[in-house]
Amino acid sequence: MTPPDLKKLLGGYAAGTLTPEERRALFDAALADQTLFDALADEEALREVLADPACRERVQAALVENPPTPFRPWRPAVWTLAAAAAAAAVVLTVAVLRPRPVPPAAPRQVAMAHKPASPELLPATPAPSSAPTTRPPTTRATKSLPMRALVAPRQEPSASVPAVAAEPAPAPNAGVVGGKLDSSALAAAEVAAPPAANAAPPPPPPLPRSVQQTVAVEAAAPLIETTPSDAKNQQVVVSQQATQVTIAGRDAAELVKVMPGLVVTARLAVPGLRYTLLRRGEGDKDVEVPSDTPFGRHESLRLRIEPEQGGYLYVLAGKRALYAGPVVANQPVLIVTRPGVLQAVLLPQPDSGPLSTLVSRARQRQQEGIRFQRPDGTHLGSAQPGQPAPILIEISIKSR
Amino acid sequence: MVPPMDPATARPATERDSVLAALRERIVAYAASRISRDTAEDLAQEVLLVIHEKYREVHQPAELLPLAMQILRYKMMAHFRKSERHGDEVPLEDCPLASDGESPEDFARRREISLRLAAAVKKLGAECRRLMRLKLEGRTFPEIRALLGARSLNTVYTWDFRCRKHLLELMGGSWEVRE
Repeated sequence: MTPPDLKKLLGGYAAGTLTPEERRALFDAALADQTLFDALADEEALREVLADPACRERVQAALVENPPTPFRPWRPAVWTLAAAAAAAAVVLTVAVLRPRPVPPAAPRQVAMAHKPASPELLPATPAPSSAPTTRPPTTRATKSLPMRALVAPRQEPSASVPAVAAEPAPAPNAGVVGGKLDSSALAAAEVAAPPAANAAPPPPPPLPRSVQQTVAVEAAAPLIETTPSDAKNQQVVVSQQATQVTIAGRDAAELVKVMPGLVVTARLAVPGLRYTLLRRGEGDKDVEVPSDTPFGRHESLRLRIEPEQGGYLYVLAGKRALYAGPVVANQPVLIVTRPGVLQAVLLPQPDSGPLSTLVSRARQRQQEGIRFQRPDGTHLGSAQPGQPAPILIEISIKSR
Repeated sequence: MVPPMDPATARPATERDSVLAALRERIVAYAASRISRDTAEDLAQEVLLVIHEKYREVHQPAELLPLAMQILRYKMMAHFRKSERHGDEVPLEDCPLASDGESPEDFARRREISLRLAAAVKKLGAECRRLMRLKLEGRTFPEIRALLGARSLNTVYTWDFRCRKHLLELMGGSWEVRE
């Protein structure tokens, strides 16, 4: 085999499917050819992954799954339509280009009496809309989060509000009585609120479902208060001539506009970390147990951590890392551990500092918050805009 | 003239030495294309040191080369990790030797690649997925040729080469995450 041919064996190297002869030929050639050696060295990463049974199984499972083919059902129809269109085009061309006999001259029509159509045949004319169509007012429906037995404390409130823009509002509407509603009922606010003086800009496209919730506020003098006491949800109170509040995200309405002067309490379901304790039950099956279940001091148990957003997860037992690596939203990570106190930190970026100080650094960054202030300059809180704060939870596994 | 014998392997010392010399040259050239030349030379030396100290019994090129690749990868990853934390100048002695123990970072990196790989293979065509599935089942190319009814082994090599190339493109041109 020539070196270009030998390069075709690279795919077999990583998968470990080369015969001894092929291996020998490939390696001998790689020792003599730097390009082949480099290609082989680059292939090492894939070989390492495929040599791991769990990773190999993951890839195999993906290969077995049917790929998403959303247009497949339409394919026959598309082909049929295309064939029909082509046939029609041919027929039309022939019909147009065919020499036609000149018809005998018909008597020219000079005028024609036009009989008006009967009323019942006339198309129905829509009545001019004197008033915009109004949707029936929606009743307040607080979206209840599914009660899970083990819900870890969520992110600090400031982290959930990455973008707050305070811009001058066109028409302050003083003296409007405030009201409160939560995020799931904000669509109702859109209807119930008085119309704005200026038409609001077109709404931004809805964010993907996995994107963290964002709140953008345009107001002359926004006042935003966070209430960190609520562990599950966070409240953002917007008042004083807020002209528009846009909330997009998984649990909130796709787009909500709140008219001037309305006080809004938006409940934001901030992505967090859920964890579950699993104990080996009958038939070697893992059984979910309450978080306060006492385990034997040396009993091995499984900890399932499910992040609600992607990032880099670090699970620490003292100075030891039980897990450190990237995680995908809603894809649980299983960790085998023993009773004790663990700390789980979810960061948007991989951490580059020492693990021994990771928790304290994460705490510090959590407290920074987003910067809010009153019109008079009173400081209410601060954070780095657009930089999600780390999520930190402490997991205490009891022992008997 | 009979070459001198290596007492450890009872084979001609020159065979192993020549393989290691060629390996060193290749490793230096490969590493130098990614890190500085001086560091690449040190790194190659480290790789050969590990082979010399831990794998004396390995002498065949078909065994030495994958072994060297593996050690080289560990060394380079360790070097990059250190560089990220402390800047570019990293004394090579700070890089740990390849060991059987696995760090959480290695585990996480492998997991990440496999997740990306799993997502990418789903986008492959049916033929490529079938070929890859057979490979991951441990089938050799001759076996795959028989199963897929290809005319020649070279045809299977070509199919695999194209599928691999497509997969690599879907992975962004590299199996690993490029930062």
